[in-house]
Amino acid sequence: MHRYPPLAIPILSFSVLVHAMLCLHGTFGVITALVTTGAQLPFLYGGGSSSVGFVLNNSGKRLLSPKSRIFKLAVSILYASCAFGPSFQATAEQPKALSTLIEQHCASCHDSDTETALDLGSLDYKLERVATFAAWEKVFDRVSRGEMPPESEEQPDENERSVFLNLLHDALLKSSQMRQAKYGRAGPRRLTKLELGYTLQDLLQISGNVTSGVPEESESGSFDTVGATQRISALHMESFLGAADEALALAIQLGGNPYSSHKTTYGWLKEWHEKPLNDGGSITREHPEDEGIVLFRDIDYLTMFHFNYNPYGGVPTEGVYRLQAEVAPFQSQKSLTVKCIVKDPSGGARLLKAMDLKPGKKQSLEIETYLKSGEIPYLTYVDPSKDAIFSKGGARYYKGPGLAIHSQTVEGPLNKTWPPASTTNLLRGIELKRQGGLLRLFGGSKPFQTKLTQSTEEHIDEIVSQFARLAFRRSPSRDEIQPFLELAKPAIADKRPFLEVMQIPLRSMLGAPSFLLFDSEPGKLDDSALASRLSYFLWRSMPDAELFELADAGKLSDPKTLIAQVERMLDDDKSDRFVKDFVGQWLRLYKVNVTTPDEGLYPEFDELLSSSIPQETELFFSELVHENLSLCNLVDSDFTMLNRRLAEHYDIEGVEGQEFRRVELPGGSPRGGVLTHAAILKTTANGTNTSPVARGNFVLANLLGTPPPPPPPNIGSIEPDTRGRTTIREILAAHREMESCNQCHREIDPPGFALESFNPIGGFRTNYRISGGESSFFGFVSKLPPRKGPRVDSTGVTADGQHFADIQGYKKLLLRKKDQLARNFISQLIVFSTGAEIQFADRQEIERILTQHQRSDYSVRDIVLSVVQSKLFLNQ
Amino acid sequence: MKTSLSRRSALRAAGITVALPWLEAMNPAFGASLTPPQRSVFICTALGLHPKSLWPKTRGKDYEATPYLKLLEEHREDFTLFSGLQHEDQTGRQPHDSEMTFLTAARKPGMGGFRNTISIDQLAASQLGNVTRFPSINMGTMKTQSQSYTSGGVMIPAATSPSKMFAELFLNGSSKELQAQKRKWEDGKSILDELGSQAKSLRRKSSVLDNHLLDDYFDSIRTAEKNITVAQSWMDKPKPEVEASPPRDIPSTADIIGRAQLLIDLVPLISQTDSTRVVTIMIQDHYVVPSIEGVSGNHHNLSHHGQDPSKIEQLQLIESKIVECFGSLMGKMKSKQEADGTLLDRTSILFGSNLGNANAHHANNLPIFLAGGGFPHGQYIAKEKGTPLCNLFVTMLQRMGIEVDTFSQSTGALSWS
Repeated sequence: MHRYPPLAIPILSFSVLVHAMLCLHGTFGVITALVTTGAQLPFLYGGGSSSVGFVLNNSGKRLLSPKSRIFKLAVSILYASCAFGPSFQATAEQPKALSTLIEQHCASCHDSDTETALDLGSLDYKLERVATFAAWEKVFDRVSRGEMPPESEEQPDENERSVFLNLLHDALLKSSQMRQAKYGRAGPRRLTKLELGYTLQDLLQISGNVTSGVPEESESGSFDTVGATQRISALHMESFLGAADEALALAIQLGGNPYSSHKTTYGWLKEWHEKPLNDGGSITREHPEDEGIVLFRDIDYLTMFHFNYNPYGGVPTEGVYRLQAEVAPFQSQKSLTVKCIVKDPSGGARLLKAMDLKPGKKQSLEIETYLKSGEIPYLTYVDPSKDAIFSKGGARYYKGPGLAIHSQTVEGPLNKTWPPASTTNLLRGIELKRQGGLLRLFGGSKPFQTKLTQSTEEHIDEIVSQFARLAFRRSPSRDEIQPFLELAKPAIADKRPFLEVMQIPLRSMLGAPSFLLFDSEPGKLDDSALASRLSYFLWRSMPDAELFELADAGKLSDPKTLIAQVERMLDDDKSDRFVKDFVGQWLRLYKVNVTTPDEGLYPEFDELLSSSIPQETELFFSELVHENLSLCNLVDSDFTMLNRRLAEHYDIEGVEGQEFRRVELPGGSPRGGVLTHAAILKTTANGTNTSPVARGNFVLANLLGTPPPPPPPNIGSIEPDTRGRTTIREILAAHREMESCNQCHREIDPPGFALESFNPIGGFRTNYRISGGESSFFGFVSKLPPRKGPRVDSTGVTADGQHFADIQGYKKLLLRKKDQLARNFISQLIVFSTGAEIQFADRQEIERILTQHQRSDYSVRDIVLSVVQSKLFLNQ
Repeated sequence: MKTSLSRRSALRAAGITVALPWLEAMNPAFGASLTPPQRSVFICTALGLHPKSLWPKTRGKDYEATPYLKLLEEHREDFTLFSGLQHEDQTGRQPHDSEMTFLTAARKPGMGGFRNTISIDQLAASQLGNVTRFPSINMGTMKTQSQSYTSGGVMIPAATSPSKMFAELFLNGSSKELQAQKRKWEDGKSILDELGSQAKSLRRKSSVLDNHLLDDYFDSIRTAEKNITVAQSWMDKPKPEVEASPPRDIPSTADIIGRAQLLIDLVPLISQTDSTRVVTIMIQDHYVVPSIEGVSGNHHNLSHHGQDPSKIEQLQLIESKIVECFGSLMGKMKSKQEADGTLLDRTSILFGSNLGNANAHHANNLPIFLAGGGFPHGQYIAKEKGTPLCNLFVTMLQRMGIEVDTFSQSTGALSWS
């Protein structure tokens, strides 16, 4: 029997409301009023027989003349059907059962004379056309979900409906399958910016990030891995080649070993201890009892790690460095949070580490990290007094808490060998000889010279062949390698230096389609392509040696081996990249810091909180994967991942220290599930206030994969009003009165209402905050603390009439939709990993995976394993 | 026939003071159009301007000349002074962090996780493309810190040596470096050529499928090749000649005014040779006692005058000199003719600061002058407090013919009232 489960797998399921409308907002009420139940004349599309009729509709103006489009279409279809016979395969002919139902139940609203977006009269049946297929797919979905015809209309009888759906289902399935067989399910895609960066690192064994010049992936409404929405411009191409140059320059290191270590000295600060406050001084002092200094303000220009005798010099040579410091709270009864921050020459700053220091104890801080040249790491702390030193006359008199810094040292760049492995592996077969001479006298580490052991051509051949194997992620034929070797020949003839010659073919391979693009023949992926798909899915980078070996031996596609490899890959630290990128895009975590909370309304939002917020959600998802927990935890969970700063934000006690760990939630806590994570609550707010619409949309679109259609074009969004006069709920209530709005908003608003208990930075609230205004004092404008506003109402009624009192109640109701949640999750994994949207022919496979995991309540790791074993993953 | 007339010979023939017609043949640098292009110059003095010495009480055309405005009296009709403009959210880790965002308006500069966004000059440069030898020119009086950032938030270092800048602009360089660069481009072209043919055969293989990515790839290769050709052709063209001798760098960092003046003096030369259409200059030196008579404190210290009259007096001395630099630029741009007007008519010069009140260290109500560019000048326009400075940026971009209606924090273009 044909099955047509009410699937709701959107093409772009987490888009910003990308949902083509079959019904234009607001038109239904008007048009349906016009429809009379009078005689409906046969609507004829030529049913493979010889009958021809005039097309007429129930409203006078819709009479079709022989000049009308539908008439012409009907005639042309008739001719077509005469020519090719009644089979609808590969013809534009619509089966009669479809046209009959369409004429009786759809055409009155969906033809060329009506305002609805869909005109069934001009829609042909050439399903091989992408746009035509998409239109019919939507017809199928909306009819099968019972959304069309709308409740207010006369409904087709069950038999009619099921014949219609069966016919359409089979035609769509067949066409979708044919397309996949012919072209492959997924078209070509390219490496994303992130993947390119990781790949160049792994391929050339370097640690630096060389893709800062590559354009950001543009917002496409789906994952950036989807080939259909990816772009390659000249800017991309130039930046790809630029990244390749930078990567090769980092990999080939023949200079002297730049390693050094340096201990920061504090003598130069004496002057700063004494300088007046308004000149930036008097915020440090010598430590009264011990080695080192004390800092009394969160600033960046005094406590740098020194790399040589120039305090402001920063990192001399890029590479991995080890930073160590001895620090302690000073004049503090409470613990103090030390921060290590890196400033880059472009003005950016990143928090490397934050650590709580217990009072009265020296503690050591150690960080190993990649630093670019010119970057300046420094120490500072979370100043609980907020610059109180200013009113106390400076460090000499200040009795408040400060940060004692006893010592700071750096060493690096750290390389296990010199020249580094990146150089010796790339230049395999070439002797590297230390240069002698004068340098030795001055004690400098000596640079290296290359010494060829065979002809230049032979060396180039060897290096290029070895490199192509890795860069192209498969064993290329001689024919493929040859053009790259040819490129080097003019330079060899010109007797240019070997390293220069060698880089010509290497650069070009890093710009080649075989490196930048993924593309396979339709059908089953070969083992090499499978290794790539797997590796880019879970590691966001090229396969490692073990995957290559298995692929070469043809063993990777063996189901047991495949499972074992996925387990191994998930257990590897590199799977964090998958978690971060997948959650970053699916749950829009990448957008978490796009808006900055209003300082007047949310003064508690600080740097540490801002950097902690996304980590909770990433680590939470990681926990689901690694512990194989139920996907339902996304909706509600009895634990979350916290550090002290976030625990304070959530009013959860007993979490000491700034490192993240799993915390069981206390009874009665409103937290649990990603909807109550500050990351999601902040991403779905605008910094100043919250909108139930934005949050409701997140639940429908991102979490469940059922995005509501966009609002009508002439409707604006809600203006923020922090004066506290009207609540958003009051505004929304007014617009729920209108049926055309209510159709979607009865679905969108309820989750948003439940989430009103959380402010724009994810804090729990019982009342809104109102801005306290500003005070001005001799030109110094300062914001006054916020005031208490109206009470929050977190109650609501779902579209199907279920009442809830708060977020806890709503989560219980949402859990009833766990099948849809899982269906969306599976779909998202497939889109992300294969780089192609879900197609009609994929639905059965997704349903199969869904059913398989229903009983175990959708264990996340198991689902990932099933996705990898599914035919959607194993085929191009 | 000679295709490129030497500017010097043209000047000699026409007489030095005679209006110099803007001719395409004059300089191979000029594009096909015969109308001179619109340009933008952004000058920032990083420690603000003492508000009481700057802001007039009367608005509009009849504003009274305050101490600083008196210095610009002879150019009264050539500029507009705006108040009320600012970027939002500029409180960084330290107050001077707004130096990074003056031309970008990115929020919360210097705080953890901060990443800068594209600056207005770089947006203009990327839109204009390779029409000039240099897409943009960025200069600074003191260090390589500039206010220009790429779309990826990477700072473009400023040139600090006027003599080196002059050489880059007008002197044909040493052959060794030129040779290396040429070879790199040749390599690049043959690489792209090979990749192009690989893409072509791939595309043929899957021509049945609506395959935009392979098309994209192919087109991007072709465009990249063309870009190299354009860059090469600039290298092959002789640099323009100018009637000026190379400047001599001032080694003393204390002579901040002299250093600023040398950079500013390059602007008319850059403009008349169409070497670039976007220039940024940063005037900055926080911790040096400027070598100006009557000044004994360092500039930064003085800017935190704490209402101490003797400090304010010294601060005014420094800032007056900086304001005069701006005046001299207007004067020089006015004295050079092109087409039916002067260089100034087609050059919008923004002069201002990232700090509104350095004493209070805040970045509100920034001092912003706009000169030239053919705008209706001669006014003091007090915009509503908090009006986005980015609105003025949008206006300037549009004046250059760049089709944008937003930039960073803008809410539209700036109205002149």
